[in-house]
This record gives sequence, C-alpha cells and structure tokens, in this order.
Amino acid sequence: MADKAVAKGMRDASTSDPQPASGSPSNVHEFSDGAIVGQILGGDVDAYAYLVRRYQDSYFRFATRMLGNRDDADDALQSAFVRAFRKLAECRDPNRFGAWLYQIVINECRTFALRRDRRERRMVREEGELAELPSDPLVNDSSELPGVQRALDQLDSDQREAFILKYVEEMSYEEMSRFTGASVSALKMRVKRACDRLRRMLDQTWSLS
Amino acid sequence: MKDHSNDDELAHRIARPLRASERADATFEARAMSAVYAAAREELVRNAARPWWIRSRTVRITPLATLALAAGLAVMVLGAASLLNIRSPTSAVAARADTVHVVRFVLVNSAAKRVALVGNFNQWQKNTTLLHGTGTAGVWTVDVPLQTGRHEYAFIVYDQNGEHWIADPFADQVRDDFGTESSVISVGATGAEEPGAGRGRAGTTAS
Repeated sequence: MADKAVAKGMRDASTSDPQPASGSPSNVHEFSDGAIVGQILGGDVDAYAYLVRRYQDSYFRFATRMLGNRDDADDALQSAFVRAFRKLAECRDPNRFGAWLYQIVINECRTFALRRDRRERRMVREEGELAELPSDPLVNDSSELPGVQRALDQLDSDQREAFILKYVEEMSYEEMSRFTGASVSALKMRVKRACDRLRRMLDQTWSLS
Repeated sequence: MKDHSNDDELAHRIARPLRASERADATFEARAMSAVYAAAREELVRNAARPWWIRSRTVRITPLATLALAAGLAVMVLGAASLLNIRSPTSAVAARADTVHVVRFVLVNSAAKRVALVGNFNQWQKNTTLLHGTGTAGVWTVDVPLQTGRHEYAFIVYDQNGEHWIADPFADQVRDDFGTESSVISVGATGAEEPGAGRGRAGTTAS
C-alpha cells in the first residue's frame, strides 16, 4: 500500500520540467515526497505538514486495525510522525518517504500494543469474547466491523499485524517481509495461524463451514 | 504448510469490513505539527548546546566582517590568479553589502551526478558554485552568502543525459526574454526569507 501511495500521482521534482509553484497548500500534490523532504531538510519545518496530510488517513486505518480503537491509533500515529521527523535525515531515499514512514508506523504500533498489553493484561478468554460478537454480522460491512475487530484484537500482535498487512492492506508476502523484517515463511505461518484462530472465534456466529 | 483456499476465502470475508476507510481526526494535522515544532525546538536547543565546531551553521555577516572577508578573499584570489594567470569573475562580490545572509539552496534529484547553482550573484557562472551531497540520497545543498535584496537563480543538473537547466520547483519563477525560467529569492530586508516562513520557498532557507 505504501508503495502505491508513494507512486500515486506525485510528480518528481527531479525531472527537468518543473512547474511554477504558487506556494499554496493545494499545490503540494505537484511535488514528490523527495522534493518536500528536501525542503524540510533545508530548514522549512512547515513543509512537514504536507507529508502529514498526505499520509495520515491511509496509515490511520492500519493503526486503528492494529490497536483496535481510534484513540490509541491517534497516539501511535502522532508518535510515528514525530519520530519520522526526528530521523528525517536518515531517510535514504526521500522519494520513498511513504514506505519509510510506513515501517516506522508499524514499529510504533508494535511498541504501543506491547506497552498497552503489559499495562492491561487481558482477563477475558476467547469464549467470553464470542458472546459479544454480533449474532447476524453479515447484514452489511458496517455491522460486521465491531465484531471482526474484537476477534482481531484477540490475536497475538504479530499474527494480527500479518493478517492486516496481507488481507486489509493487501500486500504481497514479499512486501510484508520488506516492511516487517520477518521472513516470508514466518509471515505465511502467522497468517495461517491468524486465520485458524479467527475461524474458531467466528465459526459459530458466522456459520462458517 | 498447506494452502487452504477456504482459508483465503474466509480471510477475505473477514477482511472486507476491516478495509473500510478510517479518517484521522480533523485536528490530527495540527496536533501532529505542534509536536513536530516542539521536536524541532528541542533540536535547536540541543544543537545550541554543542560546541561551535559541530553546530549547524547559521551565519549572519556584518558589513565590516564582509569587507574584511572580501579583502581576504581578494588577496587570495588575486594571488592565485597571478600564479595561474587567470582573472576571477567574482572578485567584486559583497563590496556593496549592507548585511549578508547565508542562504541554503536545496535540490532533490536522485539522478544527478553533479549540481551547480547559477544566479545573478555569481554572474550565472556554472562552475562557480557547486552543490554537495548531504549523505541523504539525491539531496544536494550549498550555503551561499547573499546580500539583502532580490536574486534570480537556477540549478544546472548534470546527469547521464547531459546537463539540464532547472528552476527551483518550490520558488517563484521568472521568465527571461528568451523564455528561460529562473527562480527568485528575496533576502533580508524584504522579510520574505526566514526559515520556515515561506511555503513557496522550498528550495532555500536563509539566516
């Protein structure tokens, strides 16, 4: 997803056909990530807002699915953006800032989930959670979401992350491997285990066969 | 590991509602930028605490210092010129300076093998002011002392396809009588050039 976002209509300012810049925020779409990163590294902190605006929504979905609620996702994403700003000079390929930021977001969500899990040990077993799942979750997507999210929350964080990257963000295993640092075989195993657990949790309420 | 097509179908079915878009809160950008500004201020404080020889440079040159520097440079340039039997094209720079501001020019170009800065401040000489790589791939910078006022400039990028004239994509543009585009920077007294002040001045910062 990140690669697609990076490639999506961003004109590379390194080409020899620059357009006049009015300086208005709407013109940010004219510029590549690399050009904006260059501006920031040159001292214009304001320009970072362009990158925040460009990536906040797409990465907010990932964070929300990983952490299970918008408040935690908001905190984790804020932290990721600040971390990325502090390390901006270490971004090896500014034109792929989005992909680089995505790795930071993934790591931030992992850390956030770990800290939260330590703080709030879950006492509820899967059986208890099942009772809360919607009885007829297939009416439409919006009614399915809370129940599916609760089931997702029960997974180990590495399984949850692998499942989201594979089926929500629709990455290939090779892309997932690049972003997470895990091997393709390990990621396949995590996805398999995630599917098995989700099947067990949702089997009764969804009448899965 | 067996590949269960049923697992794949189930996974897609489960993922469908999870793919619903989520928008960050309307205040997210403002809050994120507030945190970023705080981080930038911390960096400034940390930087100021470093010994001067490893600090980031922010230089403002007074007229007296400029004249002294120009005189020193002139001696060096004339000495070198007499040795090499050449004439310096830029020996008169800064003689009329009120205050000289150091302006950082930045260009991002991953294909460039060499980048030069040309402008009215170096008589558009393409071998006078070369940008250097920053260590971050494709990011080229150079700091240039400029007098207060309006300056026109452009980058010359040398890549495998030859040399290209490139106006700064983030700065205001002007076009000469022959249709060539250059960029414009206003330094100092006009108040237009301070770090972070100008959204339209992406390629340069001044101090």
